[in-house]
Amino acid sequence: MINAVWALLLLAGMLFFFIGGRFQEAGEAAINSVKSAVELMIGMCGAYCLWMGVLGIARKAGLVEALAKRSRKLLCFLFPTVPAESEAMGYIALNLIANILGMGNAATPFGLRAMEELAKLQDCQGRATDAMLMLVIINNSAIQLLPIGTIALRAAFSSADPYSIMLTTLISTTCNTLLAVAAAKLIQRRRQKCRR
Amino acid sequence: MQAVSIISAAIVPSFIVLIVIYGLIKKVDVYNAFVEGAKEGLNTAVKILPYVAAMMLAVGIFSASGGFDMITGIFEKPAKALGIPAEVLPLFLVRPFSGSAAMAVLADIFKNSGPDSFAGLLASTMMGSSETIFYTSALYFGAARIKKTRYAIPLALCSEIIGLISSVLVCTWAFS
Repeated sequence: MINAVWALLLLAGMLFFFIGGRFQEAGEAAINSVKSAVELMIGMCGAYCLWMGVLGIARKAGLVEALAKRSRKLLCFLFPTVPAESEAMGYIALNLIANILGMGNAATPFGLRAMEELAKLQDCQGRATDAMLMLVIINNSAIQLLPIGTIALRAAFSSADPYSIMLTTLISTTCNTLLAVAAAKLIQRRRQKCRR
Repeated sequence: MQAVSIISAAIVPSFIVLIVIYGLIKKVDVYNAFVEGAKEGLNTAVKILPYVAAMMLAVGIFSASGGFDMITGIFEKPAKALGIPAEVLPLFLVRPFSGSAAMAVLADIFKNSGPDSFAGLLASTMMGSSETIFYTSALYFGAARIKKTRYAIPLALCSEIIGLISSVLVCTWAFS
């Protein structure tokens, strides 16, 4: 799927460039996007080192496992195939907490670490497991309490009340996340039935 | 509402302080634990870079070529018929691909329609209830070296559309 989307975007974009005869612009767009990807990742490297470093302390202190144990009920419902006291579950818990608190650049390193652990846990040979899909889907459905970036931008454009969108955002994103999780659960349950 | 911004600013530093103190209580060698973790962070970042570069290449070419503007043009009329202001369409289209581009589009909507207009309020709500699904998926599946992503992208796209619909419904209820 990512394969198809990637090729479609790239080829369609190139086609528009070629139709307009804007060959030089096309070449520049190509090199500039990759350049900005590298620049972005250099910036992200800082965030990764910070949060994985802090996480390193948390792990040595046994906090990751403790957190997994605490939030066992909800997590076992969402991720039934992941052992409750595994490190993977701890990282998943941290990822969800960071997401909800709006610690944007902390949530990603925690989530990626969880994905690595999930890959170790189940030999999946390049195929996404149910647990991985659930984690990606939750992260894709934008759970957060405080849309800080949007509020800051509203304030920058001298809104009368930058915070007025907090409640509507919360309602909308909650609906979205619940529906996405429910859909994923349904698909996973149906697949299990087929197996039996 | 001042309190909200103070609390949200305090979350990140307090999180760091709490974990370091907890580590010290548990008699962890906090310095070396941090170094070990940071090393892993660097590895992850290096591992992820090719995936991000590939995704940003395709998105960058498509958006620079004017692809998003063209799609916006196609969807303008059906959207208006559904009661969705045409101004928010570019945001809906760009949001799954790039967070920074979406922020730029949002700023554009604020500049043209004002942050407190219906389009501005709706766009703000949409921004908070959707994600950069292609970037996030590439990142997460890259970390686990997954090639077959199964229903992740179709479901994420559905959730993007549900985000739009629920934003329109909630904003219509709350603001008009």
